[in-house]
Amino acid sequence: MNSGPLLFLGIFVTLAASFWSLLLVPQVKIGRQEILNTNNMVYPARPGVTKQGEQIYRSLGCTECHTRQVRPRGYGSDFDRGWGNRRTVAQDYLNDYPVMLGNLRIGPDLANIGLRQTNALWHLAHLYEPKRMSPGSMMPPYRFLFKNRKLKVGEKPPPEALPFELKPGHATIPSEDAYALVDYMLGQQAEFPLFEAPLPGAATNVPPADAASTNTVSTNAVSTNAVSTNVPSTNVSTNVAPGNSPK
Amino acid sequence: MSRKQKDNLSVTNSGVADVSVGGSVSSTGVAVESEPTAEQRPISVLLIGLLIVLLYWGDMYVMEHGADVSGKAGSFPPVVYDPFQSYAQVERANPRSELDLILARGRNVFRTMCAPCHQDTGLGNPAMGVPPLAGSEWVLTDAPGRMIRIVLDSVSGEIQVAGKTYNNPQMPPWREILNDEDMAALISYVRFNKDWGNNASIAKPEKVKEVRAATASHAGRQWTAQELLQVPPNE
Amino acid sequence: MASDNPAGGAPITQDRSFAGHGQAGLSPCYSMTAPAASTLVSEPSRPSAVIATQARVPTTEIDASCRVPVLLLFVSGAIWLLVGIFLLLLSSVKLHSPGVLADTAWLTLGRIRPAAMNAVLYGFASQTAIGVLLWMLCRLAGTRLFFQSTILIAGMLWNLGVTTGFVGILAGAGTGFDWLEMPRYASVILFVAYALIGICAVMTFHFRRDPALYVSQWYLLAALFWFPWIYSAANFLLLIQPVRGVMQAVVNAWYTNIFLHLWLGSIGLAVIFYFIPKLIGRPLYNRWLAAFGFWTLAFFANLSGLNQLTGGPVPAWMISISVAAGVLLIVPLISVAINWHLTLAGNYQRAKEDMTLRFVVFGAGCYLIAEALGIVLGTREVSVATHYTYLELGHRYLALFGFVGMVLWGSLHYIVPRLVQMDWYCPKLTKTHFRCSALGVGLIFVALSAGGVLHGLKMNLGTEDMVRLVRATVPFVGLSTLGWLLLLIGQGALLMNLFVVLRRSVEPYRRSAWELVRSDNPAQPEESS
Repeated sequence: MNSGPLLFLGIFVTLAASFWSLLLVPQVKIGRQEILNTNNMVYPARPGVTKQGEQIYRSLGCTECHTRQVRPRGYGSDFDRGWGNRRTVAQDYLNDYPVMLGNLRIGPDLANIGLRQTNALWHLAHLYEPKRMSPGSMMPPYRFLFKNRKLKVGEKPPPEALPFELKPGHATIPSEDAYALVDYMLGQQAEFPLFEAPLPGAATNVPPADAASTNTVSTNAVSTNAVSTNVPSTNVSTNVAPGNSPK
Repeated sequence: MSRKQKDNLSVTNSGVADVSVGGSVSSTGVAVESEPTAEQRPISVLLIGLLIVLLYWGDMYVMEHGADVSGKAGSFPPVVYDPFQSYAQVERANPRSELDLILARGRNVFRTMCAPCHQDTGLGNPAMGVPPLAGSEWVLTDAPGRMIRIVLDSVSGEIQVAGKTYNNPQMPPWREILNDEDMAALISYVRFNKDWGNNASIAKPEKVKEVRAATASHAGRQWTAQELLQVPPNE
Repeated sequence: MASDNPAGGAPITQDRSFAGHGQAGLSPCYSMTAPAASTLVSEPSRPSAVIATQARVPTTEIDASCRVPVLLLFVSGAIWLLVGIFLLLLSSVKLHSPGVLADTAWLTLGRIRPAAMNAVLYGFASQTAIGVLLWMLCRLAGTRLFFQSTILIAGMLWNLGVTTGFVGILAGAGTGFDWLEMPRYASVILFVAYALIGICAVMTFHFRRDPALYVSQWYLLAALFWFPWIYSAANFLLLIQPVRGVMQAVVNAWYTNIFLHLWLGSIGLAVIFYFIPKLIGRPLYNRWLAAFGFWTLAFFANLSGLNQLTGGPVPAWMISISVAAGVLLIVPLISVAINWHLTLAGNYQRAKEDMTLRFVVFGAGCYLIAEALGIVLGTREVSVATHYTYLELGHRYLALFGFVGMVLWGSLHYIVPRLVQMDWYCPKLTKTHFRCSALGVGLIFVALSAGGVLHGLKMNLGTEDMVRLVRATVPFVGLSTLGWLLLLIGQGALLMNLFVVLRRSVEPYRRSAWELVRSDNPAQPEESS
């Protein structure tokens, strides 16, 4: 332990071990996933203005208090709270940059907020003053994303103003950033059915006898990411061909 | 050193003067700082033992929680997420198609009833007079009519399978033992077994029922190769 | 044992560059320091005798060579500390009073907290740690600091980088990655500054007078090599050629774990291993045990990064590796605990007298608690309840301020007087610094942990409404705000002490320069004795 070069070698090896097993190998395994293009649906999608909204989310640091990941059954009460109907997996974040998973929940999880709260006006009003839409909320107000214009007596609010009064005697006009952020919120959804994240309880038709076998039941299993006709409540209509020979 | 004396020196909290602790005195009688040293002793065996035990535990833990080394999707599969621990579990949790269910059922029947002779690989045991099912022309006809008959009442006499002649294969009849669904599943499993290279159509229970009724008079008598060849391949 | 009057009648200022600075009698808190020997120091014999190939440089010369660059690092570090803690105090306030200063994007919670963390991590912790690293490497090597002016420039560059990054985050250019929020332009500056420092440090290490290595040198060398690796890799894989999808979160988790455990943590451990034996005058209990602890820590802490992602969108095997490695950290934890305790055995009361030892022992205790808690929180079963709660936040603050902060403040407390050859301005301020910091850190940790437990019970194990349960944790956050205030006051005391000492150490230059200007005569060095 007195030799500088040997010490350096050991130090290098320890870091190389973690670099290899936690970065390189995972990069090979999950770092080259592709956007899904199944049955004319693209997943995950992050069109136009929602991408700008993602940058507002990043810039304002929303990830300091909100997470965007749904934990699986047995890992907390995410499902019971209605934060998602399945857990989130790597595929869900392919189109994100930066990937903001969050590591503190002082507010609800946002992975599926676009499915829970579909009203853009609600989002805008909530951003302006969270307490108004969620009484008792500890979220800070984001009034600087809006412009308040004082209305003269009898003046009607301009068309771009919000259709309700947030500040007495003023018309509140959301900025581009506010709209982008809300679009991003509305686009948050992670319920596209995936092989690696089956809906809990979906496999009701498991034949009992082969529970113990590791070399699984059907050697002719359908390919990954295929959607079965048995999946409840999905927007995707699918057709899994039962066998491919004519009868 | 008395408190009074200490006041004239720098206060201990910076330790500038009080470096005589662990230090030495130079020739001018002034204290001098020294750097720390370490003694050498053997390490407690318990600690090394603990390391080994924990390494073993850690290895087991990783193997059981997602490494899935002998699993179908290879080691360290990227599609196995918590709470699943192996690819098999993920597959099982995914809802199956109808086809998967039929094949699963058929496989069970095959393993219990047929694999003892025809083997899990479907290659049979030609040396012992058990014909193969993989690539067998009797299995891979366009329609399963011939195969249903074989399963119902079995075969006697000479029969040629995949270029080899078998004399009086000792196959039991299954008419009274398997019902229509099980038989259909079994036949589908054999005919549509990609692992064996078979790619024929599956059999439906209705078809089995139909053939069973049509050959009711043949019950108890085994089929000969000529009789089977009378059955058109598309029936 | 020193004689009563350390000045001893001998001439004071022969080999020192300060001419007749300050005398006893200026203030009751201030007195003359002892001159170090001008003769070569003889090494106390070591049990594992390695023949010194060259004589060590005298201690005062070592300290003199470190003076300007290390002081720059320390002082800038202290200023960033104040900035960072002030903003953390503000964020804590915003957590329970969200309307405070919420009307501008520059001060929104989501920007000041990352800005504060970056100020603390890179502005204070890394800079001070580098200063301590350089000084300690010099002392253990027995040689002067190499390329002092380069380090000075590097220190200024570092501050430039941190300032740019800090302002960038507040302006909205934060990257969104934990502890890497500083924009690309800032991290490049930081990396260049570090490269310069690293080269100097390695040269200093390489030209050591004594080939034998002490425990602290292993940790320091390790930290020196690990940091540029992880910093460049993380910045490259996240900002320059970003990896796709959830791999970004993986790289981020890997980076933050190694940054805390093996960059700041290694230097912190080096400090503890250095000061405990030195200040109590006894050798470290067991060198082999220390080596065992070092290598097990190096290996397993490297692999344990992904246990922050339990339940996250990452394949199970990756999390399993990190969880298992995290549990294996029990081994180095026990090793260092045994080593420290058996070295200190019977000498704990020395910490009452020696402030540096007090800081270091407190820091060591916090390290043990934080490490143990980290191991527990990193398992899947426990994280079900504790993930995403204040408990994890409190744990990070304990590691950062209770361990890293305290040991760095202790080292600062020891090193600065030796650099300026002058005592601290007021020991009462030092006591204030310690007490406020210790109390502050303790309060923050206890309050956030208690709040976090409540938070976890209600949020992760129950289905109570989010808004209501967050309100229930507000009193705990309020308590932690009090802790931040205490911490801030403590750092204020440190800064005051530091500034007065520095002003005084510069005083003779100023005075003689002023005299020079005032009189028309060529300068005669003023004998203000």
